[in-house]
Amino acid sequence: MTTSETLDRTEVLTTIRGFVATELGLPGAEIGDDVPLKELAGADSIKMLRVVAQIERRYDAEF
Amino acid sequence: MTAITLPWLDEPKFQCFGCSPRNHIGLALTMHRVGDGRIRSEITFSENYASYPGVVHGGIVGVLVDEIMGDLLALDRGMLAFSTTLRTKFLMPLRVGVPYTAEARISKEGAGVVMTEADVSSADGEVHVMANGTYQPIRSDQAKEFMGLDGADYDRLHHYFDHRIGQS
Repeated sequence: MTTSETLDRTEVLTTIRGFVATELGLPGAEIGDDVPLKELAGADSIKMLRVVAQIERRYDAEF
Repeated sequence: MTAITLPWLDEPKFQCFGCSPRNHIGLALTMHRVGDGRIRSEITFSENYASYPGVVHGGIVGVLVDEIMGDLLALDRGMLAFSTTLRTKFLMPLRVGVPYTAEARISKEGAGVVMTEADVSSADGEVHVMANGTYQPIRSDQAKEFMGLDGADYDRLHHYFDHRIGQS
């Protein structure tokens, strides 16, 4: 994405939920907006790092 | 998966640390096309490239991802480019003596640069490294100044330079 694009909260949530669901092999519907990621089934630090890396790529950000 | 013959390997001035088989301390990476606009390189690092015992040096992993992303631009866009940004996310260490696969793709382009991504995975499919690169095409004057290209060498290679990305 470019800096001229406007971030939409719903789109961001949907995108990140998709990253988490794919990484953990969970249905997206099981991942609530406020659920602590480390409490999700199968979550570990490496998988969460991969999610962070995907978020960085998608939004050209660095955490 | 199709093996790629890198067209610049026989260039007399060419000693690339990443891919030239004439560079005896380099990685001599080979490339394969895997479809969907991606290329792949498979490598097992020796102890010559270790940092901690048994662990591949992070700078060498940087060479791997930079090389495969740069080669993709040269092969698919016909241009040589300098990396202006290389961001490498090390998720898990790479081990010496263990085979890994790197894959690169172009993610977007414009405003004079091309942006690429590369992942390095182990045989079980676990992604160990996720890298992003930004590449700026090399101009003719830069090729002459930094690479010392002139005469017949420049004439033979000039098509790799002065590419314009998203510019009128």
